[in-house]
Amino acid sequence: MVNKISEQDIVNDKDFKDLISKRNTIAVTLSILQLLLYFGFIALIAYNKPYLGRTISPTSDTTIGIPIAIGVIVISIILGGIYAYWANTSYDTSVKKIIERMEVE
Amino acid sequence: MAGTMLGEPNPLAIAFFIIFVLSTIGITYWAAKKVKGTAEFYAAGRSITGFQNGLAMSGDYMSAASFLGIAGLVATCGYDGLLYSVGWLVGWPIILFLIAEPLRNLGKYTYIDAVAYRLSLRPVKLVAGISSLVTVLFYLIAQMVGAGTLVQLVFGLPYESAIILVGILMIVYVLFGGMVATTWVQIIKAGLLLGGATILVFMTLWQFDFSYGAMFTKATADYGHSFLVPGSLITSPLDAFSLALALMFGTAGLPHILMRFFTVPDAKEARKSVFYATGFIGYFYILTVTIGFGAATLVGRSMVMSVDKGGNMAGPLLAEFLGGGVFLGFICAVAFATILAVVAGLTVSGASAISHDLYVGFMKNGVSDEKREVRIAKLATLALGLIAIILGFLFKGQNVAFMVGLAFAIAASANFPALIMSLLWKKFTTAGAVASMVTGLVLAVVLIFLSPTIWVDVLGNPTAIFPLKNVAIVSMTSAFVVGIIVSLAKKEENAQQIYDAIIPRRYLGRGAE
Repeated sequence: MVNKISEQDIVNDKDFKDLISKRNTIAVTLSILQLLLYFGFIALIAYNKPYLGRTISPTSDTTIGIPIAIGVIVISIILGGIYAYWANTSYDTSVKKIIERMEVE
Repeated sequence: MAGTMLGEPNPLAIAFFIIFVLSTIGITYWAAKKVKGTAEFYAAGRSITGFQNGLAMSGDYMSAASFLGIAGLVATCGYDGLLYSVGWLVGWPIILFLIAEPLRNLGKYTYIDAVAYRLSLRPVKLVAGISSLVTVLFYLIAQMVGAGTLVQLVFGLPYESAIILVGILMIVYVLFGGMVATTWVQIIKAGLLLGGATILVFMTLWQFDFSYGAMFTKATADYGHSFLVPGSLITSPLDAFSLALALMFGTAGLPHILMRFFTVPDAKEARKSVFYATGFIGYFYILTVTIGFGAATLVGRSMVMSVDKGGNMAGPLLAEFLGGGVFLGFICAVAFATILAVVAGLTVSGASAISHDLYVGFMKNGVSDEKREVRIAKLATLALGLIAIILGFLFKGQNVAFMVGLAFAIAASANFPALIMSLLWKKFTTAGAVASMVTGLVLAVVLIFLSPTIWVDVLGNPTAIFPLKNVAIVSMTSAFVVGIIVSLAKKEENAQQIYDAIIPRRYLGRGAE
């Protein structure tokens, strides 16, 4: 079997380049969101403790800080889920197609 | 709660624990037949599925510091404990987005393989091997002392016997079963811990008619509004950001966690395992926070602190309050199993730093026959076990809580910057990597020594030379800056060429180990 596209050529292949740039865009965007999420939470602790100390409603003793902290954990898991879902479906399919083009004459 | 059985030998805890030990030794016996070469010893033959590895990763990560420590911190300090549960979780998505797949595609057995893949092997392996080993050792000390104290309280065994018992068991798992046995010990432990904590939380919430609001109302009534607001743990904004950096990026630089990526067959399974691990760990941290508030409201803060000043017995005491001696015994056995599993994971990782990175990578320039490498790895396991026992003796009765923090600071400063720059930045050079790792390691250790954590709290000096309690903001930032400046100062052609040549492997997994 002869390789249709060699390892050297694949680097210049348009589909492969598009795939890399798409993956990097998604990974970097999600990383920035994750950093904003966490350091936003830390900024509240560092600079605005009174806000975190407000209660969620006049009749409740639960402070806003508690759902916010749990929210940071849950949103982190969701962001991870978004990436995993995209990669498991879209990215893996594209990788498979490119590898097929490299291997099939 | 008026009294506790903690401190007297608990026959049920001992029975549960013996069942755990016997079944894990059974697994080790089964695994020992499979461990033939380096791929089995370091990477469980790359036969672990993403789901299994996700459980094993969370097993590696959910140490006694997070199970007993966070619950204890919440029970004694309230909201401040949440900072740790959030901080220890948020690094995982970053591992998923930036590290998991390239690490799996470019490395072989340790994260150092991926740092070194396009740089000069020997200098990188030497410095990274040492820094990896130092991270593991600090983590190990904290676990050993925790194990000794816990066993003393729960099983009524003397501290020294407990340390020796843990040391022997970890040697047995790793020496005979390698990563195969270690992985299954982690999976069982993760299942027990998640199950035990879930039951504990279910029973806690039952007391409040399944209303978190009612639990927080009781907490406010008992300890005031300030219990539910961030408080004294974080004194300055700079310290807050510094702690946050260490928690988030330390996670992404822990050698025993990064090593787990090589136990799965490919990058896809590596990615899945991080996602599952993030879910399990996030769920677990929400449970530990609930356990902490449950202990504060149901057991009472003064009771928790009378048994252990640091609050580490909050979880077991809550179990006793809710389910008597039986549940106390079960939770204590789970806590001990937790320590044992983490210690085994650390040992595989430390042994691989010695045999794969320092011996084969540095001393033999990457060339060694497999049989010899496995033999060195096993000798290293034995040596690490003995060192762990000796360190456990030396640090008896010491406050070692800062050592987990130190391990995270080193991981964030010495391991993480070099790894991420080598994976993502084309112009990174050997000199840059070495300079970055040395800067991060030395600064992290020296600054923590001079910080209030050791200089004042441990050594008893009146004021600290370095003002912050958390050092990562200086040590990690410096590691990045030094790595970038040194790399830009002198170009390394070869490293850049390999970076380009390896692009198909990095994204498509072609030719990955």
